[in-house]
Amino acid sequence: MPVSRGEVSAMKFMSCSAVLLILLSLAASAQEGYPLDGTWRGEWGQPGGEMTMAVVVMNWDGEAISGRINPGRNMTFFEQASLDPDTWTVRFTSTSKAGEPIVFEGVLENIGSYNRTISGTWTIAGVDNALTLTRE
Amino acid sequence: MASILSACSDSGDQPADAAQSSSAMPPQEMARETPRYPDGTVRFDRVPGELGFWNNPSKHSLVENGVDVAMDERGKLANIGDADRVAPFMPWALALYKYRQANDFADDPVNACISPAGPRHLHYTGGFRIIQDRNYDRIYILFGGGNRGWRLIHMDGREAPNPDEVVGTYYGHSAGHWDGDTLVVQSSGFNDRFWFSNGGLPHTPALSLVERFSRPDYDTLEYSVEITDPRTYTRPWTASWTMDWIEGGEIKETFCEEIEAIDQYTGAE
Repeated sequence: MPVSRGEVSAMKFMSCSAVLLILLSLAASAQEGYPLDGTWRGEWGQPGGEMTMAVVVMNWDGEAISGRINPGRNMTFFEQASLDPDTWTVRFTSTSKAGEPIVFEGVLENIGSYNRTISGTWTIAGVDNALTLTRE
Repeated sequence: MASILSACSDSGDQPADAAQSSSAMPPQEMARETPRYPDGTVRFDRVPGELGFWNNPSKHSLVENGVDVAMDERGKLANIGDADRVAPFMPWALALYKYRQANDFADDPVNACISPAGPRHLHYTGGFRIIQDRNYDRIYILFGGGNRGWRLIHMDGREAPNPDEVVGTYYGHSAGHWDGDTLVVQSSGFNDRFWFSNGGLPHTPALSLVERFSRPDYDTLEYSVEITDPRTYTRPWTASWTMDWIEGGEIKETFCEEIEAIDQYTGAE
């Protein structure tokens, strides 16, 4: 079915408007304060194996970093957490609902970016897994 | 809107004798007297029939009083070794400040058209006006820089909110009162989506400010701000500077439309 020039222009306008709104909404939700505050997401697992989603929510209260892993039915809380600002190394520990110890250690990268990341190792039940958490 | 605000500024009050005396040309070495309303209240904006605004900040970034460090107009330190003298940073905040300094402010939200809010507006290019709306017990600050934003200060006796009980905004929630001839403004309820100072000093939503505005003579605005953010700084600290009255001038119409900058900021391709 042929499309008129006017309809093409309208579609272009709507597409550009949608892209612009998405960009503006992303910029508006950026966060410039404590670099770990917020929600982070990534997948861990062995190469070639099944990957497991990890969602981590962190909050700085001026004295300590508190955190939750996988909010919901299987949520667990941080037991210890630290940020070394000299190296931007992040470390936290927890215990899964199944009683397996969790240790994550990684390095904060692209600190000034909206989509900053923490790349490191997620160790669960003594098994190391690569994990990159990306801030949402 | 400008005409409405102009009407608010000149809401029927006639300037007191100090303002009238401004029409006479005083010797240059003598400071002109502070303009006042008939009831003696200091007038921070124009007297009727006048043009003008505040600009030319004597400092370009927040720096704790008593500390002298060299920096450029963007707040970039001449010597990064001075970073820990600028403010009583927590370790993470000092590291982030140094990071922003080292990458030449590449991640400054202003690059993505996000307002330079908080005290930064009073450092930013473009100048500002302070409009006293005495009919409604409010003061507006109109900014020429950034996106030509404006800020509202309530003068009706309310207090600044508990930061934990409000949704944070770019300009925060401000309540003011008079301490003699000084306008004292308490602000809290900021979000952390902007840089509150040139130079990249960090803050969190726990930020609260106590600002003091005074006009010791016709051409000088004295400003100080006490910064409290227990998640970023180890103690409250104060920065001060002055600004000049730009007589006959007008803040310019400036808007940010740098979509490419937004792409860069958000990582969009």
